[in-house]
Amino acid sequence: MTVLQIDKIKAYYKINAYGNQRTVKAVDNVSLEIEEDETFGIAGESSCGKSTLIKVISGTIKPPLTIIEGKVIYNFGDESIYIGKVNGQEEIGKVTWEKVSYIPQSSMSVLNPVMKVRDIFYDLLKSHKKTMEKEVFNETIKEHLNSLGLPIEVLDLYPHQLSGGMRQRVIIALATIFRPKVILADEPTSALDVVVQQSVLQLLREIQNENKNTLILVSHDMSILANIANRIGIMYAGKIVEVAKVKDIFENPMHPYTKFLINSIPRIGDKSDRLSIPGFPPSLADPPNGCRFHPRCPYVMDICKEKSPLLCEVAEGHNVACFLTSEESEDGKY
Amino acid sequence: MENTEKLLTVKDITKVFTRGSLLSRISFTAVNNVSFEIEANKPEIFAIVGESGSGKTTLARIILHLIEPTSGQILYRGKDITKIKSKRDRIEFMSTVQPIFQNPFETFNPLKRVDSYLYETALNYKITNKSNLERFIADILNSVGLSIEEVKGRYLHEFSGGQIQRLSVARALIVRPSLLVADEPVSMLDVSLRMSIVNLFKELKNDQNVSIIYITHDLATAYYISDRIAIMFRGDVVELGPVEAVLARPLHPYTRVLKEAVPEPTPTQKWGGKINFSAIEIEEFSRVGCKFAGRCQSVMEICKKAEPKYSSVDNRMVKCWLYK
Repeated sequence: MTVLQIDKIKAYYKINAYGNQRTVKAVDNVSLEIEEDETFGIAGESSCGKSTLIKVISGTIKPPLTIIEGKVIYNFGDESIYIGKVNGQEEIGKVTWEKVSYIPQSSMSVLNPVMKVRDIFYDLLKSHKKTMEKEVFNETIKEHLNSLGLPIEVLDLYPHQLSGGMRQRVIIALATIFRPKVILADEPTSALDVVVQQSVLQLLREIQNENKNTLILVSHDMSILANIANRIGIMYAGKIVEVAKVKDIFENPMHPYTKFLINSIPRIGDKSDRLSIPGFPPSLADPPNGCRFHPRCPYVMDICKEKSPLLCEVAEGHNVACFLTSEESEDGKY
Repeated sequence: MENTEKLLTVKDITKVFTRGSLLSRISFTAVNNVSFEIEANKPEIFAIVGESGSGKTTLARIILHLIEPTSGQILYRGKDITKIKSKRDRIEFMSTVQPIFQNPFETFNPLKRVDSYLYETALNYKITNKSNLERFIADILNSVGLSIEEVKGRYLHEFSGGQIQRLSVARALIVRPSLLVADEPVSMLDVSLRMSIVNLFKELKNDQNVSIIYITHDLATAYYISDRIAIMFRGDVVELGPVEAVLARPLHPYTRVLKEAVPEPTPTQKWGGKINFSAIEIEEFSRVGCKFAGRCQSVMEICKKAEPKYSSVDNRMVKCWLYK
C-alpha cells in the first residue's frame, strides 16, 4: 500500500528583501511514492532541497516557504491527509505526532535545556492524551524506554548531561512512543561519531523491523543509506534525478551524478584514486536552464541545456531523469 | 643534535584542563602522554583519528602553539616550540607550520575581500615584494586549482564551501610551509567536493613535499590519503602505525570497534552485531586504568586497575594490556 504520495510538488521560498523579489526553487516538480513498511533514503548534498522536501512532507509550511503546485497525500487506510493544492485550494492537513513523527538533525538544540527528560516526555504525552493518569504515564514511558534498550536513569537527567548519542536516542524514543506510521529522519546522525552513529541507526532499523512503519531517512552519506535503506532517491538541485532499489543504485547507477557519487566514496582497503565531481552545486535562486546537472556533466548534449528531463522508469523499479536513458522531457517529448 | 632529521617530535604531551574555583577544582585530562614523530626528509600524511572528545583538536592546537601543554615537549626541527616567546621566533615558526581549520566559512571575515588575506599574508611574512605580488598569488591559487580571476575582489558569500576551503589551503601555502595541520578540513563540505580537497592534500604531499597532519573522524578518507595513523580515545593514543596495517588488522579493541562501525558502501554487506556505549561521557575520562575498559569486549581484571603501557607489536605502538 502506498502510504505517502508526493505529486508534482513545487515548493519555493519567496523572499521580498528591499523591494527585490527573489525566488529560491528549493523543491521543483518532485514526485515520489513511498510504500508501507519500507525504508526510503533520500541522498543529496547540502542546499539541494532535501530538508525543504521534509518540511513539505511534514506539513510545516510557513512563509517564505510556499507551495506553488502539487500535493502530498498520506493514506493511512482509515484516514487521508492532504497537504498542498487540492482542486486549486490550498489545504494543509494536520499531521499529528501519532501518525507522522520527525527526528531532526541537531539533537543539541531540540530538547529543552531546562527540563528533565521525564518532563519532556510528560509534555509530549499530555498534549496528545489528555485524560491519562500520571501512573499510566510513568508506566508507558518506562516500558517504551525498556523496549528500546535505554536506561531508565536518563529520565532524571537534563539534556546537557547526556552524550550526543544518548540524546539522539532519547529523541528517537520521543518520536516512536506513539508507534507512528511514518517516521521522517533528517540527517539523524550527521553530528555523531561513527560508533555512536552505528548504534543510533541500528536502533532505527530495529524499530522499523518491529513496527513495520515507513522510515524516510535523509542523509548526505551514501554508505549509511547502503546499510539501512530499501530504496534510494538521489536529489540534485531541487529535483529527484534517480530512484531505485538500493542494490540497483550501487551496482548499476544510471544518472551521471549518481555515478560520480558512488565512485567518489572512499573505502577502507582500497587506495585507488577517487575522482571528485567537477564544478560545484548551483544556487537554487538561479538554477541553470534545462537539466540542472548539465554544467557539471561530462556527457552533456545540446538538449540538456534547453529542456529538463522527466523522471521515468527505464528498468523495473528504476527511475532516472536523464536524456541519456530516455527522451521524455518535463514538457512532453522533444 | 640528533633531532635535526625529525621535522616534528611530539614528546610526552599532556594537557590538563581545570575548572571550578580554588576549593572545588575539577581537572580533566584532554591529552594524555602522547608521543610521535614526523620525519623531515620524507613527506607524509599523518592521520589522527578519534571520536569527538578524544582530544585530537587539543593536540592540534598544542602543535600549532595556540595553547600551552601542561607537560611535555614539542620539538620542531630540534627546537622546542613551547619556549617560543619573542615575536620573531613566532613568525619564524608560523612561516613553516600552518593551520587549516574545520569550518571554511568561519576562517575568513565576511566583510573583507577574500583575496586581501592572500596579499596581506604574503606581505606580512615578506615572502615577496609588491611588484611580484600578483604573479606570486596567481601561482599559489593555480596550485590549489583556482584562478586569480575567480578570486579577485570577491567576498566570502560569493564562493562555495569547496572553493573557500581551497582558498584557506592557498593561504596556508603562501609561506611555503613544510607542515600543515588540518583539523577536520572536509567535514563541513559536501560529498561531491570532499574528494577534491582530499586529492589536493595528496598532490601537495607528492609535488611540494609538504607533510600534513590530517585530523578527522572519518576512517575512510584517512585510509585513502594517509601513510600513518594514530587512533585516539579519551586523550590517549591507543594505536599508532602504518595505515594499511592498522586498519587491515587492528590490534587494539577500540580500533576494531571503530573500524566495524564504518558503514560499508555495499548494500549486500550490512552491519551486524550490537555495541554498547556509555551513557555519560565524563565517566570515561575519569576512569582509573584503561579508559576503554567499560566498553571493551576482552576486558581483564588488570585493565580496571592500572593504565596500560605502550608496547611495540609488528611495527606499531599499541596501548593495551593484551599485548604486553
